[in-house]
Amino acid sequence: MKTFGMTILVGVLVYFLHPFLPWYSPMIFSIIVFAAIEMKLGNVFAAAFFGSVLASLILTFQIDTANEAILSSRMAGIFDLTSSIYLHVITALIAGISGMLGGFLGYSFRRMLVKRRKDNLYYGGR
Amino acid sequence: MNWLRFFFALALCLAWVYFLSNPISLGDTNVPPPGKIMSLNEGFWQNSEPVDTNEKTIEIKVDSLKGTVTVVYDSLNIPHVFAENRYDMFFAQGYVTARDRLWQMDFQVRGAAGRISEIVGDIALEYDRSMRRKGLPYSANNALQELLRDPETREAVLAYTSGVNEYISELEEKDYPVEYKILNYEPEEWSPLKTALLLKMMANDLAYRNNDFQFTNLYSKLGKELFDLLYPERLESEDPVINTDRKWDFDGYKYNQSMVDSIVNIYPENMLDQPDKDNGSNNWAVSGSKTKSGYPILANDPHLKLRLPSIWYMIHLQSPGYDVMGASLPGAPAVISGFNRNIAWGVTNARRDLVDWYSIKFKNKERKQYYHDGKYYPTRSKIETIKVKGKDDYKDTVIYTHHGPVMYDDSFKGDSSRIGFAMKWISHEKSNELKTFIELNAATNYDDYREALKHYISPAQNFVFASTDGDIAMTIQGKFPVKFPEQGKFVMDGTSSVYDWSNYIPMEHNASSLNPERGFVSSANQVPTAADYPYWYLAGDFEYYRNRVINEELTSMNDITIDDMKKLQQNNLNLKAKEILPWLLDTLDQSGLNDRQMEVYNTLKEWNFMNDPELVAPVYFNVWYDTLDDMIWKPVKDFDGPVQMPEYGVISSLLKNGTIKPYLDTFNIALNDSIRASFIRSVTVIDTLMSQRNDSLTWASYKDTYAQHLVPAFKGFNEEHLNIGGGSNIVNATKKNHGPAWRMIVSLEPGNVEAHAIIAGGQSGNPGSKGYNEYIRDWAMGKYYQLNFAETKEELTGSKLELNINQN
Repeated sequence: MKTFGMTILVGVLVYFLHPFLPWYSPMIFSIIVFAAIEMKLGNVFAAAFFGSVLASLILTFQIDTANEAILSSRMAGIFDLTSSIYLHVITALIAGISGMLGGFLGYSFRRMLVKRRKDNLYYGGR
Repeated sequence: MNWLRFFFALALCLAWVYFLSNPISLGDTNVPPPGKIMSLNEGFWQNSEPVDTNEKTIEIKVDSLKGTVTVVYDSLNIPHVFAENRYDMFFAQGYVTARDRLWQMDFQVRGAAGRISEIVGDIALEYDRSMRRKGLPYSANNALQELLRDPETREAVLAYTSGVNEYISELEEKDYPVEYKILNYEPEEWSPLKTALLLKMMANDLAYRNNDFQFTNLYSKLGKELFDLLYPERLESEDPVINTDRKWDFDGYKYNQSMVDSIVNIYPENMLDQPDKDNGSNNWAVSGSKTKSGYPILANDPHLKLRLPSIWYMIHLQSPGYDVMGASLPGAPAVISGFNRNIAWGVTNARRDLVDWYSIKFKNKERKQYYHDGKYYPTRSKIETIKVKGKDDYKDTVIYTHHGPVMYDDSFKGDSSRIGFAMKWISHEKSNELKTFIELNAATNYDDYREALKHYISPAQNFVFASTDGDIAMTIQGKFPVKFPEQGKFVMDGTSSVYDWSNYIPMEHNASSLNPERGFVSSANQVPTAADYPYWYLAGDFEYYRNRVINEELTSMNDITIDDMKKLQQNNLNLKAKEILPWLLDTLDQSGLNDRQMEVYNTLKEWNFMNDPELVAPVYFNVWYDTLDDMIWKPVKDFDGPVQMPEYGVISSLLKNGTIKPYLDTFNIALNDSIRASFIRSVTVIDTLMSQRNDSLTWASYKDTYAQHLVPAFKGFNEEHLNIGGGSNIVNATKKNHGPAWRMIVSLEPGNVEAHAIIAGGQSGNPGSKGYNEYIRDWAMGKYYQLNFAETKEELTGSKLELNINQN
């Protein structure tokens, strides 16, 4: 349930902020989210990846629908792709992998800090 | 361990960002930075314009305006500029043109300046060198001085430049046209020099073509007799631009004979490609005596490469004393082919030979001096620095003589360090063509039209004119050197001043015609005058067929309407076929032809000579004629060095009259055997084509017309498989990737000027916009749109968008 919630959170951030920020912004969102919130690494990967991918796909399909796929089909021709769907998939994968890597970094950052906290004598050590 | 993992994750993130933020090189292909191009913010998705936009009014505040401008886009996406003064009007023209066509403007002038390598790398280096060696930037600089010297054109180019730069300054990276994103570079500021470069690029397309090296080589290989037979200076049944009953009331300066005493067959090892031979146009005007309304009608359709974004941009410009509509060139102020409340005008290429070549003898390998008239004169060197993407700058030294730049030498396509070929080109001269167009835009009558043309030098054009006063006129305008016969026909000896250009034809002696008795004026790139014109000129590439069809139709027509003119612009009669095919069919030995061959024969026999899109007979003729042409002219095509095939009109005449015999005898060609063999071979070719197309071969599918994006590699941005007839040498001059990209017809009833027009493409330059190609299928179908020449913005009902540009 927590993973699902985090997927939604990442997705919401990507959906509302990514269109105004650099292409690697899903990475930034995931770094922040998963540095702040404790989760298992596998779940971090899943939530960061799927949240970014889904939001990205919704965004590209919204843009493409409003444009009646005029540009995406022409761009597919430029890149020798047989269908403009691939452009949605590539965009989503770039966002997804960026998010996933960001999630990994955020998770690693948190683990690094959390270990330090647990090592603190005030908390009684391990 | 956690530290290690953190740094590993950090390294992965940084590597990912770095990798996707930079272009990737895959062999010869450069993929734009994948992260950026696919980005929802900076990438191509931002260029996907919503098809239904609710944007109705945009307020724009700028610093450099003198008043207020309103721009209203009508239902056809044509901007109507309403300004309080001329400066603001041209500012707005620059602004809206950049808004729709920024990348096209930028790329075209970088092309003219020889700066494409900056964008695409060394693949364009030879192209860039050729532009520099031709002296395009040099001639643009000459033109710039004149543009800025004249107060009227100075105001126009400076205002236009400010408008373009205002738009550029408003852009964020995400707003850049998609081509910038794919090619991974940024817009740069516009300047008056860029406008000059654009105009010189048109001169390159229209006035650079020449046959000097080809003729020199052919003369040497064929000998005088055969050369004169195959490459005559005049053709039978010519129908010149200026009506033949025109009497010349001046003496001119006509030399009696050629002063070319010897022709030395020298040519560079390799040569640059020439502009398309069919870069031309049709225009005509009929007087009120021949129209149903009783008022003149004018038509114009320029033929250039079919490009996307469209070469033309439709616009309406209005300020006090200035109210004009028509086609503009993105990158230049004013309207190039259009109409106002009183007059209409149009242009076709005059195709005069205005490029001559001189062989230059340098004193030594240093090339600091060259020999001329018994003395050595110093050369001038210009080091051209060409920036090359991803590589060091390339430096090319171009030598200038008094003739012009030495284009071919041992460092560029030549093979001798002491001989170079200098080019004398009228387009290098100082000129101010923009002044002509600005004055034409505001002209009210014939006298204004003639006055406006006085500034026009190059590329020479046939300017057609009609007015609400009832006048129609044609002027062949440009700056033309006075030449003795054959001067400039062959490569000339640069060591002798005999061959130099010395005098120019006075502009008032340029051939023109006003209200001729026949009731119309017309031009279609044919020979300008009858042989009695008091100056000699080289008849090189003049068109032979379109003009005769137009003139025959116009002669026979009465009670002409706008619809009649539309039909004439789309006339598909293949006069070349009409004149040669019956003879070919009669000459063809039919004995032993099989059923399929007889079927093709009978189809050709029954053909009405129309190159209509759905017919197959034009394909049969085309394939057969091309096959025969290859067989007959193979000896010429196989010559070493540059060659040029004889004109179709000459071939047709030689074949039918039997006067081709000396050529056939010289090269042992059996004509009747060639006709039969070519016919049989052509049927095989046709059947192969048919099997590839599942038997659905038509003229349109064979010709397969398309409009090509400015970057040929961007095939996804092309518009392909256009169902349209016509062809080369046909009034509807639509070839595979070439044709009448602007069609305009204007009826000049006083107080009710009515114009119908269309461009092959759309108003927008954005491939992500519906407006990129929205007219092109209608254009192919022969449709026109009635232009809304509104006097006020309130008349523009159904408008799409309004821009209010105000002073800050």
